Amino acid sequence: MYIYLPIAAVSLHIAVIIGLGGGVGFLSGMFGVGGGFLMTPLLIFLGVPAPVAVATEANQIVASSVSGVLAHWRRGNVDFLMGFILLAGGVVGSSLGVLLFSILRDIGQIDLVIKLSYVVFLGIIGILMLMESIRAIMRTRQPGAKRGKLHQHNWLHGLPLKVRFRKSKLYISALVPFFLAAFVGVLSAIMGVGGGFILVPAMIYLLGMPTYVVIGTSLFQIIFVTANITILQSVQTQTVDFVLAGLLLFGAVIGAQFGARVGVMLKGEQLRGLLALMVLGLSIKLGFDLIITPQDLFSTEFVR
Amino acid sequence: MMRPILIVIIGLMFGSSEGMARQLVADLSSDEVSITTDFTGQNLLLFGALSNLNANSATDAPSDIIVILTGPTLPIASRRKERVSGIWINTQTVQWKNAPSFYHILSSRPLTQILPNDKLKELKIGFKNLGLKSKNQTDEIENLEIWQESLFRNMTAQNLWQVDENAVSIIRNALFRAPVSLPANITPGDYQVRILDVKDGQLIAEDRREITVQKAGLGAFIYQLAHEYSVFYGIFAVAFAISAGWIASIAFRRN
Repeated sequence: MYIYLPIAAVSLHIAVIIGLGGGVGFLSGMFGVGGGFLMTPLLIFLGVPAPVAVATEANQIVASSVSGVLAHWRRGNVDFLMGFILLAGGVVGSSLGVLLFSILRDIGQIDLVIKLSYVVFLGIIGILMLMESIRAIMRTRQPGAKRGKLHQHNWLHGLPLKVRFRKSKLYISALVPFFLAAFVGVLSAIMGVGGGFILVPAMIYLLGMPTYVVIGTSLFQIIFVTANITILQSVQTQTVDFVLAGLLLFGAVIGAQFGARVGVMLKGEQLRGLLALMVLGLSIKLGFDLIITPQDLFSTEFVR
Repeated sequence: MMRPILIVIIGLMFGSSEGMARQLVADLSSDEVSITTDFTGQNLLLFGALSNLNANSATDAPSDIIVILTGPTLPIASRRKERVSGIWINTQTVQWKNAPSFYHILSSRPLTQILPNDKLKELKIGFKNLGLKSKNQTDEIENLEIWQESLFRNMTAQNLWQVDENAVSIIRNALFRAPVSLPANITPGDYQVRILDVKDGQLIAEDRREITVQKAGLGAFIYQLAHEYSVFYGIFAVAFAISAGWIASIAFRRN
């Protein structure tokens, strides 16, 4: 059964939408990632206009982050003080991002910037994750490896406005998480992602937060950032497709449950290695699309 | 569906008093199209009677029908990519001043066989005869042709522009019918339908119809909400997502 999406103004088969939600939900449940970085390019590939895909995906991520954060909250794995500083930065960044998005769209460069951001950030994160998981797999094969320091100290720890984060066992400048979240917020708004795939490694390696509070805290802030993007895009560009978001959500919720069950059967390093390969693959594919000569050098679009 | 309509027209034709009706009469199987949530495009039937009802079908040259469907004019932009340090980037834009969002031509024979080129130009029939102008005046004429070709190509690929020179069937030199296909990606608005009856390179009669395309049902409601109460819509979308996430977490915690 085909369904006409009122905002996207395209007709897609309902099974395709729910299946896409389910498939991406499965992977996100398995790997513990949001899945926005997979969903948004796939939606664009299916013919959903890029602005609609990005804004709608923000709306869907609100839901998946809420259900994710509740589980972490019950286990007490959310650092709320850190979360509030991150969300302040995230709201500022994502508001800027939405503004930047509409400017780029008007000058016809939004597709390019979306694809470039994907290539660059997925590429960097993919390589880092792959290296890290290879190292981890090697380490498990060499028993007796030494455990390193909790985290490395660098120039970031010398900045002013220091705050003590009890849950994260950190005493660092509030400016670091604020600007980190602001930067990720801009990317969130442009790429149609929650930003967890950048925020999580940054919180672990840059801020030095313990891994167990990172996921819950990042999910907590992603709720607010994506909610902010949803509302701003609704007001500025009217590109949030509520019907599309609802159907994706339905599939994703179910898929995530199955994914989580498969995920526990695999080892952490293997999981991260697989995720890294997937992220890298997507980055290479999108990068390749930018380099090969397009079939038609001209394109036509309806402008507002 | 076809046959009853034809029978009615044939009945009308022979019922009318001879020598009076030299008019072109056309109608559509429906002149209202609703874009509902299950919309995947719509096929309509355009049908009618030729104007030369009294013509002797055996001796007279048959007349031809050209149907021109034009959708609302929207701001359309064409962009051209160039390779900049290895990657393909949109570098030039032409904003079209008067390009229709939808333009289908249906005819009973190839257009150039029906009418001479200057006549086609005069009647603005055919992509090249639309007199497309760009908003950016700096473009040179010869350059503009490449841009126009690209617009024809891209709009045709989306099924929004089309020329089908075999679509109109003429039955016994008295009746005609043509399938009108509106794809799923059409823009709501008023669609003008011009029906031309042409004989010996001369336009002998013309009729006009209009198709109203509008969003309807739940989809229309959501679209309207998104555009007219956008703040409320955004807040509602977020509230929905939060509650959906919350319900999901409760539902799957129990098992």
